[in-house]
Amino acid sequence: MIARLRTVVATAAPQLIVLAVVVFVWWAAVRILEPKPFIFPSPGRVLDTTIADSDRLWTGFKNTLYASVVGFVFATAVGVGAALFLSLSRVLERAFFPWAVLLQTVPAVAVAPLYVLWFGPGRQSVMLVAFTITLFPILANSLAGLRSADAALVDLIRLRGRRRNSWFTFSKIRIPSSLPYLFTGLRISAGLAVIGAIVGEIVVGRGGTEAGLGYWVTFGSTQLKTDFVFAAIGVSSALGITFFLLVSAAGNRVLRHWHESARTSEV
Amino acid sequence: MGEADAPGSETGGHVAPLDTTQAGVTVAIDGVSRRFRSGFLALTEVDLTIAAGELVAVVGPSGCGKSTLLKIIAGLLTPTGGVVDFGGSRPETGYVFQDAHLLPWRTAIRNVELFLEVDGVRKAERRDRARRALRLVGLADFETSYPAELSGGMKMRVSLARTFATDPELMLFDEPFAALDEITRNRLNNDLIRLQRDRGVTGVFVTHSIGEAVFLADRVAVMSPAPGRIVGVVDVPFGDDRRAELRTSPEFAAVARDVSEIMAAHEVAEGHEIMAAQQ
Ligand SMILES: Nc1ncnc2c1ncn2[C@@H]1O[C@H](COP(=O)(O)OP(=O)(O)OP(=O)(O)O)[C@@H](O)[C@H]1O
Ligand SMILES: [Mg+2]
Repeated sequence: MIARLRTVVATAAPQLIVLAVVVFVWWAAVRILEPKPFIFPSPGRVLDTTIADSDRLWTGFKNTLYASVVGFVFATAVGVGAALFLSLSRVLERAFFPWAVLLQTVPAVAVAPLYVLWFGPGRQSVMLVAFTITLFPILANSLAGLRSADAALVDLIRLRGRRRNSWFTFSKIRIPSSLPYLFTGLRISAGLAVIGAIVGEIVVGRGGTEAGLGYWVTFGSTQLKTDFVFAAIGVSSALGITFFLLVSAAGNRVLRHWHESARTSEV
Repeated sequence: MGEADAPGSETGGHVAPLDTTQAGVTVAIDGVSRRFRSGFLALTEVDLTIAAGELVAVVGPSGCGKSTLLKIIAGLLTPTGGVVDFGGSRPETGYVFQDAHLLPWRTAIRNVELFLEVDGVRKAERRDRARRALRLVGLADFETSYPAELSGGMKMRVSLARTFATDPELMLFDEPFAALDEITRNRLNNDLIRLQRDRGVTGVFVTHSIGEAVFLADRVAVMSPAPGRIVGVVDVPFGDDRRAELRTSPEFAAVARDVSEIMAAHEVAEGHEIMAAQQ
């Protein structure tokens, strides 16, 4: 237990030192240059606002978390489903995958106003932005994963009378083989989901009980409450990182026997 | 050495084969050719008859079509000419590659169960057969180890056990031990010869190593460079007596020399033909 704690501290120490240095430089710069607080607040001021406005930030946190998780979960279901479908044949993949790549280049910020137009300025649009932005990494990685199955082993199973696309091959070989890739996609998408939700909230611009962190960022900047903007951004990053770490932890747990692959795909 | 940890393999104790009544099958390869879609002719007019219970080694330069021939025998590739006849329906075939091809998320015993699972064998019987197969290859103590926890040689043993668990009538080996160091390879060969001969299974063993071919096989078939065909077959007169000492005997060296001479003759001959054609 103590030893484990020590390794955690040892691995986290360099990052924490960098953080401390950055905060110190920030603090010192504000101290020396004395910018107006609404241009660039000091770390202390941001911290004070975070505590004072913790109610708003907490609601924002919950709303943004909710929208990103829903978007992420739907993107996982649709992405994995589509990948399974496309992996059925090379022809299907060639027919559809290039379009998926093309869709991926459409910036989420640009489609968000359309979603608002089509689906109204509510949560559903926020979730859809999160969904849109997370879909492709999940689809692309699961497809690559399904393709990565040991072809020789699939051949050996084919020799025993099971087709390449039989349920047996899928459930016992292809799907498990794809998991390390899937989790790579999920990890990328976990961070993206939060970004998508925040972009959605900024475009939707609805406050009140639905106010997410994106809304508070816009709100803070129109009111020139820059310290509050900083606080909201800080909470957003914390949310993104937490989501990412949770997905990573789930991945490492599921993949604990893929020693080799888990090691290479480690962040 | 990575292999020192395989208990049972060195004791020489006889373990009953999974199915003692297993009889090998006759394989008649008749005028088999294979041209790939690229137009490349990999095999031309390969003729070879393998008797029931016989182990034939196939040697030849890289790219001469050895793997292609095995795939055709296995039924993974169709020949573009000729036939492979088993004197009846397609036999239960075991196929072992250079790499173990195990599933990293399954323990050794669960890996051995895989093909039985494909065949729909009930759980209890599957377990039982897998356990016996693992014992056969000397890995009884590693049932619950994951592939990442096993050495290269041990993984190959699991791969062999997975194949043996299905009681094949025909075994196809495609350079199964090529990726291993020589000591491990010799040890696995010693074990393999015991297993193969005990069981009387028909086998085709592809290898780059002439020594391995002579040590294991009843006959060694030599293939020419592509397009591959069989340019000579050398009888190995050692019967079932394949003790490790055989490798250092003069008789062994003599047979190995015969094989190398055929190989050398054909590499040179082909070279001349190509040069003549270019002039
Ligand atoms: N699918 C394919 N399409 C076209 N050519 C192929 C295909 N598969 C194999 N070949 C060619 O056929 C020849 C024989 O291949 P094969 O794999 O059977 O050789 P091999 O004797 O097993 O070689 P090695 O000893 O290196 O394993 C090679 O020249 C190879 O390039
Ligand atoms: Mg080969």
